[in-house]
Amino acid sequence: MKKIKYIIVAALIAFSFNNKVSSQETSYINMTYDMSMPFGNTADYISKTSFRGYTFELGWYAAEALTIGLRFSWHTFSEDMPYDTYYDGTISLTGKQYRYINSMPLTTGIKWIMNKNGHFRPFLGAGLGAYMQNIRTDMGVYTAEIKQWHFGFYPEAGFLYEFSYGTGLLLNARYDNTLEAGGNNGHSYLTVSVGFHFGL
Amino acid sequence: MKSKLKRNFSFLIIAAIPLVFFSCYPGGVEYYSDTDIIYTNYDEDYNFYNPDTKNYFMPDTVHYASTDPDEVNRQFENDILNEIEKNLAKHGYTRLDDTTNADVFITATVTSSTYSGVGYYPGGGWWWGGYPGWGWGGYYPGYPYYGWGYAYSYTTGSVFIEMVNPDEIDHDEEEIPIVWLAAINGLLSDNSANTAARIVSTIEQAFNQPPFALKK
Repeated sequence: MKKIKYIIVAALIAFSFNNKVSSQETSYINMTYDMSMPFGNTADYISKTSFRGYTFELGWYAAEALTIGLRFSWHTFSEDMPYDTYYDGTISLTGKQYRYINSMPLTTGIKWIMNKNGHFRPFLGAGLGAYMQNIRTDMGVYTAEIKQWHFGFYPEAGFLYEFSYGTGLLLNARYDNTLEAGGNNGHSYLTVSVGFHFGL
Repeated sequence: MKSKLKRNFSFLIIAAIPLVFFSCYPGGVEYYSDTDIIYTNYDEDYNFYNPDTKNYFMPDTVHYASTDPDEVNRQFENDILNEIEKNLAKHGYTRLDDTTNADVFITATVTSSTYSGVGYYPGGGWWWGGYPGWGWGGYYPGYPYYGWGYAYSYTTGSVFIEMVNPDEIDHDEEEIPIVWLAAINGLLSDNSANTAARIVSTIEQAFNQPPFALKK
Protein backbone atom coordinates (compact mmCIF):
# COMPACT_ATOMS: atom_id res chain seq x y z
CA MET A 1 0.00 0.00 0.00
CA LYS A 2 2.83 2.31 0.95
CA LYS A 3 4.60 1.54 -2.32
CA ILE A 4 1.50 2.40 -4.32
CA LYS A 5 1.40 5.81 -2.66
CA TYR A 6 5.04 6.45 -3.60
CA ILE A 7 4.35 5.37 -7.18
CA ILE A 8 1.33 7.70 -7.43
CA VAL A 9 3.29 10.66 -6.05
CA ALA A 10 6.24 9.96 -8.37
CA ALA A 11 3.90 9.61 -11.35
CA LEU A 12 2.17 12.89 -10.54
CA ILE A 13 5.49 14.73 -10.29
CA ALA A 14 6.72 13.18 -13.52
CA PHE A 15 3.44 14.03 -15.22
CA SER A 16 3.61 17.60 -13.98
CA PHE A 17 7.09 18.23 -15.36
CA ASN A 18 6.88 16.28 -18.60
CA ASN A 19 3.41 16.96 -19.90
CA LYS A 20 3.37 20.20 -21.76
CA VAL A 21 -0.01 21.89 -21.91
CA SER A 22 -1.31 23.99 -24.71
CA SER A 23 -2.01 27.06 -22.60
CA GLN A 24 0.17 29.92 -23.79
CA GLU A 25 -1.09 32.53 -21.41
CA THR A 26 0.12 36.08 -21.84
CA SER A 27 -1.37 37.47 -18.65
CA TYR A 28 -3.06 36.21 -15.51
CA ILE A 29 -5.07 37.07 -12.42
CA ASN A 30 -4.26 35.56 -9.01
CA MET A 31 -6.63 35.67 -6.05
CA THR A 32 -5.56 34.25 -2.72
CA TYR A 33 -6.66 33.93 0.86
CA ASP A 34 -3.76 34.99 3.11
CA MET A 35 -2.61 34.02 6.59
CA SER A 36 0.10 36.24 8.08
CA MET A 37 2.53 35.68 10.93
CA PRO A 38 3.89 38.90 12.50
CA PHE A 39 7.60 39.48 13.11
CA GLY A 40 9.72 42.30 14.60
CA ASN A 41 7.82 45.48 15.50
CA THR A 42 4.60 43.95 14.28
CA ALA A 43 4.94 41.01 16.68
CA ASP A 44 5.83 43.40 19.53
CA TYR A 45 2.50 45.14 19.03
CA ILE A 46 0.33 42.18 17.98
CA SER A 47 1.66 38.67 18.46
CA LYS A 48 -1.31 36.76 17.04
CA THR A 49 -1.29 35.29 13.54
CA SER A 50 -3.72 36.95 11.18
CA PHE A 51 -6.31 34.83 9.42
CA ARG A 52 -7.85 37.83 7.68
CA GLY A 53 -6.18 38.67 4.46
CA TYR A 54 -6.42 38.47 0.72
CA THR A 55 -4.43 39.33 -2.37
CA PHE A 56 -5.37 40.31 -5.91
CA GLU A 57 -2.64 40.19 -8.49
CA LEU A 58 -2.61 41.03 -12.16
CA GLY A 59 0.42 39.95 -14.16
CA TRP A 60 1.85 39.88 -17.66
CA TYR A 61 4.54 37.72 -19.24
CA ALA A 62 7.43 40.02 -20.08
CA ALA A 63 9.58 37.12 -21.30
CA GLU A 64 9.26 33.35 -21.61
CA ALA A 65 9.68 32.73 -17.88
CA LEU A 66 9.43 36.22 -16.42
CA THR A 67 6.30 38.04 -15.33
CA ILE A 68 5.66 41.58 -14.19
CA GLY A 69 2.73 42.06 -11.87
CA LEU A 70 0.69 44.49 -9.84
CA ARG A 71 -0.52 43.37 -6.44
CA PHE A 72 -3.03 44.65 -3.92
CA SER A 73 -3.33 42.92 -0.57
CA TRP A 74 -5.18 43.60 2.63
CA HIS A 75 -3.94 42.01 5.85
CA THR A 76 -5.69 42.59 9.16
CA PHE A 77 -4.01 41.76 12.45
CA SER A 78 -5.93 42.08 15.69
CA GLU A 79 -5.46 41.18 19.32
CA ASP A 80 -7.54 41.73 22.44
CA MET A 81 -5.05 42.49 25.17
CA PRO A 82 -5.86 41.35 28.72
CA TYR A 83 -6.88 43.84 31.41
CA ASP A 84 -3.55 45.41 32.33
CA THR A 85 -1.78 48.53 33.61
CA TYR A 86 0.50 50.57 31.35
CA TYR A 87 3.05 53.03 32.78
CA ASP A 88 4.62 56.21 31.48
CA GLY A 89 6.64 58.08 34.12
CA THR A 90 4.25 58.96 36.92
CA ILE A 91 1.22 58.10 34.77
CA SER A 92 -0.53 54.76 35.14
CA LEU A 93 -3.36 53.66 32.88
CA THR A 94 -5.38 50.50 33.43
CA GLY A 95 -7.89 48.87 31.11
CA LYS A 96 -8.37 46.52 28.20
CA GLN A 97 -6.72 47.35 24.92
CA TYR A 98 -7.89 46.25 21.49
CA ARG A 99 -5.12 46.49 18.93
CA TYR A 100 -5.39 46.44 15.15
CA ILE A 101 -3.02 46.66 12.22
CA ASN A 102 -4.41 46.98 8.73
CA SER A 103 -1.67 46.66 6.14
CA MET A 104 -2.52 47.32 2.50
CA PRO A 105 0.39 46.75 0.11
CA LEU A 106 0.16 48.21 -3.37
CA THR A 107 3.22 46.78 -5.09
CA THR A 108 4.80 45.88 -8.36
CA GLY A 109 6.92 42.77 -8.69
CA ILE A 110 8.56 40.21 -10.92
CA LYS A 111 8.36 36.42 -10.91
CA TRP A 112 10.62 33.87 -12.44
CA ILE A 113 8.42 30.96 -13.47
CA MET A 114 10.01 27.54 -13.78
CA ASN A 115 8.47 24.99 -16.14
CA LYS A 116 6.13 27.63 -17.59
CA ASN A 117 4.26 25.26 -19.91
CA GLY A 118 3.88 22.42 -17.41
CA HIS A 119 1.08 21.74 -14.96
CA PHE A 120 3.34 22.25 -11.97
CA ARG A 121 5.09 25.62 -11.99
CA PRO A 122 7.31 26.65 -9.10
CA PHE A 123 8.27 30.31 -9.00
CA LEU A 124 10.47 32.83 -7.19
CA GLY A 125 9.65 36.51 -7.02
CA ALA A 126 10.33 39.90 -5.47
CA GLY A 127 8.72 43.30 -5.48
CA LEU A 128 8.40 46.70 -3.94
CA GLY A 129 5.89 49.47 -3.53
CA ALA A 130 3.76 51.54 -1.19
CA TYR A 131 2.10 50.09 1.88
CA MET A 132 -0.71 51.88 3.69
CA GLN A 133 -0.48 50.78 7.31
CA ASN A 134 -3.12 51.71 9.80
CA ILE A 135 -2.23 51.10 13.46
CA ARG A 136 -5.09 51.48 15.88
CA THR A 137 -5.48 51.04 19.64
CA ASP A 138 -8.88 51.13 21.30
CA MET A 139 -8.92 51.60 25.06
CA GLY A 140 -12.08 52.41 26.97
CA VAL A 141 -14.20 54.48 24.64
CA TYR A 142 -11.11 56.12 23.17
CA THR A 143 -9.16 55.38 20.02
CA ALA A 144 -5.59 56.23 19.04
CA GLU A 145 -4.84 55.74 15.36
CA ILE A 146 -1.88 56.19 13.03
CA LYS A 147 -2.32 56.05 9.26
CA GLN A 148 0.94 56.06 7.38
CA TRP A 149 2.22 55.25 3.89
CA HIS A 150 5.44 53.23 4.03
CA PHE A 151 7.91 52.11 1.41
CA GLY A 152 8.17 48.33 1.44
CA PHE A 153 9.50 45.31 -0.37
CA TYR A 154 9.12 41.55 -0.40
CA PRO A 155 10.65 38.28 -1.60
CA GLU A 156 8.32 35.39 -2.38
CA ALA A 157 8.36 31.75 -3.41
CA GLY A 158 5.59 29.36 -4.32
CA PHE A 159 4.10 27.13 -6.92
CA LEU A 160 1.12 26.91 -9.18
CA TYR A 161 -0.64 23.70 -10.15
CA GLU A 162 -2.77 24.04 -13.27
CA PHE A 163 -5.61 21.60 -12.73
CA SER A 164 -7.70 22.70 -15.66
CA TYR A 165 -6.98 24.61 -18.83
CA GLY A 166 -5.91 28.12 -17.76
CA THR A 167 -6.95 27.65 -14.15
CA GLY A 168 -4.68 26.61 -11.34
CA LEU A 169 -4.22 26.29 -7.63
CA LEU A 170 -1.70 28.69 -6.15
CA LEU A 171 0.32 28.36 -2.96
CA ASN A 172 3.01 30.82 -1.97
CA ALA A 173 4.90 32.43 0.90
CA ARG A 174 5.81 36.11 0.96
CA TYR A 175 7.74 38.19 3.48
CA ASP A 176 6.46 41.77 3.48
CA ASN A 177 8.75 44.35 5.00
CA THR A 178 8.17 48.08 5.38
CA LEU A 179 10.60 50.82 6.37
CA GLU A 180 10.11 53.45 9.07
CA ALA A 181 8.17 56.47 7.82
CA GLY A 182 6.95 59.66 9.43
CA GLY A 183 8.47 58.63 12.76
CA ASN A 184 6.41 55.44 12.72
CA ASN A 185 7.92 51.98 12.89
CA GLY A 186 8.10 49.75 9.86
CA HIS A 187 6.44 46.36 10.00
CA SER A 188 7.22 42.87 8.80
CA TYR A 189 5.22 39.70 8.47
CA LEU A 190 5.30 36.38 6.66
CA THR A 191 2.24 35.53 4.62
CA VAL A 192 1.21 32.11 3.42
CA SER A 193 -1.33 32.37 0.60
CA VAL A 194 -3.57 29.82 -1.01
CA GLY A 195 -5.85 30.61 -3.91
CA PHE A 196 -6.51 30.49 -7.61
CA HIS A 197 -4.60 31.41 -10.74
CA PHE A 198 -6.54 32.36 -13.86
CA GLY A 199 -4.55 32.45 -17.06
CA LEU A 200 -5.73 34.92 -19.71
CA MET B 1 -9.12 34.67 -24.51
CA LYS B 2 -12.77 35.76 -24.25
CA SER B 3 -13.98 32.22 -23.55
CA LYS B 4 -11.30 31.81 -20.90
CA LEU B 5 -12.40 35.06 -19.28
CA LYS B 6 -16.02 33.91 -19.28
CA ARG B 7 -15.09 30.55 -17.74
CA ASN B 8 -12.91 32.13 -15.11
CA PHE B 9 -15.52 34.69 -14.21
CA SER B 10 -17.54 32.16 -12.18
CA PHE B 11 -14.39 31.23 -10.25
CA LEU B 12 -13.75 34.90 -9.57
CA ILE B 13 -17.25 35.36 -8.18
CA ILE B 14 -16.87 32.41 -5.82
CA ALA B 15 -13.43 33.55 -4.70
CA ALA B 16 -14.73 37.09 -4.05
CA ILE B 17 -17.58 36.07 -1.74
CA PRO B 18 -15.48 35.97 1.48
CA LEU B 19 -14.20 39.47 0.77
CA VAL B 20 -17.70 40.92 1.17
CA PHE B 21 -17.59 39.84 4.80
CA PHE B 22 -14.10 41.15 5.41
CA SER B 23 -13.64 43.41 8.41
CA CYS B 24 -10.72 45.60 9.27
CA TYR B 25 -11.56 45.84 13.00
CA PRO B 26 -12.64 42.39 14.22
CA GLY B 27 -13.30 41.56 17.88
CA GLY B 28 -13.58 44.33 20.44
CA VAL B 29 -15.60 45.24 23.50
CA GLU B 30 -18.10 42.66 24.77
CA TYR B 31 -19.09 43.91 28.22
CA TYR B 32 -19.60 47.34 29.77
CA SER B 33 -16.70 46.70 32.13
CA ASP B 34 -14.40 46.22 29.09
CA THR B 35 -14.67 49.99 28.56
CA ASP B 36 -13.46 50.90 32.04
CA ILE B 37 -10.17 52.75 32.19
CA ILE B 38 -8.37 54.03 35.26
CA TYR B 39 -5.84 56.84 34.87
CA THR B 40 -3.70 58.06 37.76
CA ASN B 41 -0.91 60.60 38.01
CA TYR B 42 0.95 62.12 40.96
CA ASP B 43 3.49 64.70 42.05
CA GLU B 44 6.87 62.98 42.41
CA ASP B 45 8.03 65.56 44.97
CA TYR B 46 5.20 64.91 47.39
CA ASN B 47 5.76 62.32 50.12
CA PHE B 48 2.66 60.13 50.26
CA TYR B 49 4.21 57.87 52.91
CA ASN B 50 4.96 60.51 55.59
CA PRO B 51 3.00 59.33 58.68
CA ASP B 52 2.71 62.93 59.90
CA THR B 53 0.76 64.13 56.86
CA LYS B 54 -1.92 61.47 56.61
CA ASN B 55 -4.95 63.36 57.91
CA TYR B 56 -7.37 64.37 55.23
CA PHE B 57 -10.67 66.15 54.81
CA MET B 58 -13.25 65.01 52.24
CA PRO B 59 -16.68 66.70 51.84
CA ASP B 60 -19.77 64.56 52.44
CA THR B 61 -20.97 65.14 48.92
CA VAL B 62 -19.68 64.48 45.46
CA HIS B 63 -19.31 67.43 43.13
CA TYR B 64 -21.25 67.14 39.86
CA ALA B 65 -19.71 68.93 36.92
CA SER B 66 -23.02 69.66 35.25
CA THR B 67 -25.07 72.83 34.84
CA ASP B 68 -28.25 70.83 34.27
CA PRO B 69 -29.74 69.70 37.62
CA ASP B 70 -31.75 66.96 35.81
CA GLU B 71 -28.52 65.27 34.78
CA VAL B 72 -27.29 64.95 38.35
CA ASN B 73 -27.71 61.40 39.59
CA ARG B 74 -26.72 60.99 43.22
CA GLN B 75 -27.45 57.26 43.23
CA PHE B 76 -23.80 56.23 43.49
CA GLU B 77 -22.58 59.02 45.76
CA ASN B 78 -22.19 56.84 48.85
CA ASP B 79 -20.49 54.07 46.87
CA ILE B 80 -17.89 56.56 45.64
CA LEU B 81 -17.21 58.26 49.00
CA ASN B 82 -17.15 55.00 50.98
CA GLU B 83 -14.74 53.36 48.55
CA ILE B 84 -12.37 56.33 48.62
CA GLU B 85 -12.41 56.38 52.44
CA LYS B 86 -11.89 52.61 52.64
CA ASN B 87 -8.90 52.66 50.32
CA LEU B 88 -7.27 55.69 51.93
CA ALA B 89 -7.67 53.99 55.33
CA LYS B 90 -5.84 50.97 53.88
CA HIS B 91 -2.89 53.25 53.19
CA GLY B 92 -2.96 54.76 56.70
CA TYR B 93 -4.91 57.94 55.97
CA THR B 94 -7.41 59.24 58.54
CA ARG B 95 -10.54 61.19 57.59
CA LEU B 96 -11.25 64.36 59.61
CA ASP B 97 -14.58 66.17 60.01
CA ASP B 98 -13.19 69.61 59.18
CA THR B 99 -10.32 71.20 57.34
CA THR B 100 -8.55 72.72 60.37
CA ASN B 101 -5.98 69.96 60.93
CA ALA B 102 -6.16 68.32 57.51
CA ASP B 103 -2.86 67.71 55.72
CA VAL B 104 -4.58 67.10 52.39
CA PHE B 105 -8.06 67.60 50.93
CA ILE B 106 -9.80 64.97 48.83
CA THR B 107 -12.48 65.85 46.31
CA ALA B 108 -14.60 63.62 44.13
CA THR B 109 -16.21 64.90 40.94
CA VAL B 110 -18.61 63.10 38.62
CA THR B 111 -19.48 63.88 35.02
CA SER B 112 -21.46 62.13 32.34
CA SER B 113 -21.63 62.71 28.60
CA THR B 114 -23.96 61.31 25.98
CA TYR B 115 -22.82 60.74 22.43
CA SER B 116 -25.12 59.84 19.58
CA GLY B 117 -25.10 59.78 15.82
CA VAL B 118 -24.62 57.56 12.83
CA GLY B 119 -21.31 56.02 11.92
CA TYR B 120 -19.92 54.11 8.98
CA TYR B 121 -17.27 51.50 8.72
CA PRO B 122 -15.45 51.25 5.41
CA GLY B 123 -15.51 47.79 3.94
CA GLY B 124 -18.90 46.89 5.33
CA GLY B 125 -20.22 46.78 8.83
CA TRP B 126 -21.57 43.26 9.10
CA TRP B 127 -18.38 41.75 10.39
CA TRP B 128 -17.87 44.43 12.96
CA GLY B 129 -19.99 42.38 15.29
CA GLY B 130 -20.47 45.43 17.42
CA TYR B 131 -23.93 46.33 16.40
CA PRO B 132 -25.79 45.97 18.61
CA GLY B 133 -23.89 43.25 20.46
CA TRP B 134 -21.36 45.75 21.73
CA GLY B 135 -23.79 46.62 24.44
CA TRP B 136 -23.36 50.35 24.10
CA GLY B 137 -25.13 51.95 27.01
CA GLY B 138 -28.39 53.64 26.20
CA TYR B 139 -28.50 52.15 22.69
CA TYR B 140 -31.66 53.44 21.06
CA PRO B 141 -33.39 50.43 19.47
CA GLY B 142 -35.81 52.48 17.37
CA TYR B 143 -33.03 54.09 15.40
CA PRO B 144 -32.96 53.01 11.75
CA TYR B 145 -30.02 51.57 9.88
CA TYR B 146 -28.37 53.88 7.40
CA GLY B 147 -27.01 51.72 4.63
CA TRP B 148 -23.85 50.06 5.85
CA GLY B 149 -23.73 52.33 8.85
CA TYR B 150 -24.96 51.90 12.37
CA ALA B 151 -26.84 54.17 14.73
CA TYR B 152 -25.52 54.71 18.19
CA SER B 153 -26.23 56.52 21.39
CA TYR B 154 -24.18 55.92 24.47
CA THR B 155 -23.40 57.59 27.73
CA THR B 156 -20.07 57.57 29.48
CA GLY B 157 -19.54 58.34 33.12
CA SER B 158 -16.38 59.70 34.71
CA VAL B 159 -15.23 59.94 38.31
CA PHE B 160 -12.34 62.26 39.17
CA ILE B 161 -10.67 61.98 42.57
CA GLU B 162 -8.16 64.67 43.49
CA MET B 163 -5.80 65.04 46.42
CA VAL B 164 -4.94 68.67 47.13
CA ASN B 165 -2.05 69.92 49.25
CA PRO B 166 -3.45 73.06 50.97
CA ASP B 167 0.00 74.20 52.16
CA GLU B 168 1.10 74.82 48.61
CA ILE B 169 -1.93 76.81 47.43
CA ASP B 170 -0.73 79.89 45.56
CA HIS B 171 -3.28 82.62 46.30
CA ASP B 172 -1.59 85.17 44.03
CA GLU B 173 -1.56 82.89 40.99
CA GLU B 174 -4.82 81.25 42.11
CA GLU B 175 -3.28 77.83 41.69
CA ILE B 176 -4.31 74.80 43.70
CA PRO B 177 -1.65 72.05 43.64
CA ILE B 178 -3.10 68.61 43.01
CA VAL B 179 -0.60 66.02 44.25
CA TRP B 180 -2.59 62.99 43.12
CA LEU B 181 -5.32 62.55 40.53
CA ALA B 182 -7.41 59.58 39.52
CA ALA B 183 -9.68 59.73 36.47
CA ILE B 184 -12.01 56.81 35.90
CA ASN B 185 -14.11 56.48 32.77
CA GLY B 186 -16.45 53.90 31.28
CA LEU B 187 -19.75 53.31 29.54
CA LEU B 188 -22.76 53.65 31.80
CA SER B 189 -25.17 50.72 31.81
CA ASP B 190 -28.83 50.71 32.76
CA ASN B 191 -28.07 48.13 35.42
CA SER B 192 -27.32 50.10 38.61
CA ALA B 193 -25.92 47.08 40.47
CA ASN B 194 -23.44 46.58 37.64
CA THR B 195 -22.47 50.27 37.66
CA ALA B 196 -22.04 50.30 41.45
CA ALA B 197 -19.80 47.20 41.32
CA ARG B 198 -17.67 48.79 38.58
CA ILE B 199 -17.33 52.03 40.57
CA VAL B 200 -16.08 50.07 43.58
CA SER B 201 -13.59 47.96 41.58
CA THR B 202 -12.21 50.86 39.53
CA ILE B 203 -11.68 53.11 42.57
CA GLU B 204 -9.90 50.20 44.27
CA GLN B 205 -7.70 49.83 41.17
CA ALA B 206 -6.82 53.55 41.30
CA PHE B 207 -5.31 52.94 44.74
CA ASN B 208 -3.47 49.85 43.44
CA GLN B 209 -1.43 52.07 41.13
CA PRO B 210 1.57 54.28 42.00
CA PRO B 211 2.20 56.08 44.29
CA PHE B 212 0.03 53.93 46.59
CA ALA B 213 1.30 50.65 45.12
CA LEU B 214 4.40 49.60 43.24
CA LYS B 215 4.45 49.15 39.48
CA LYS B 216 3.61 45.58 38.52
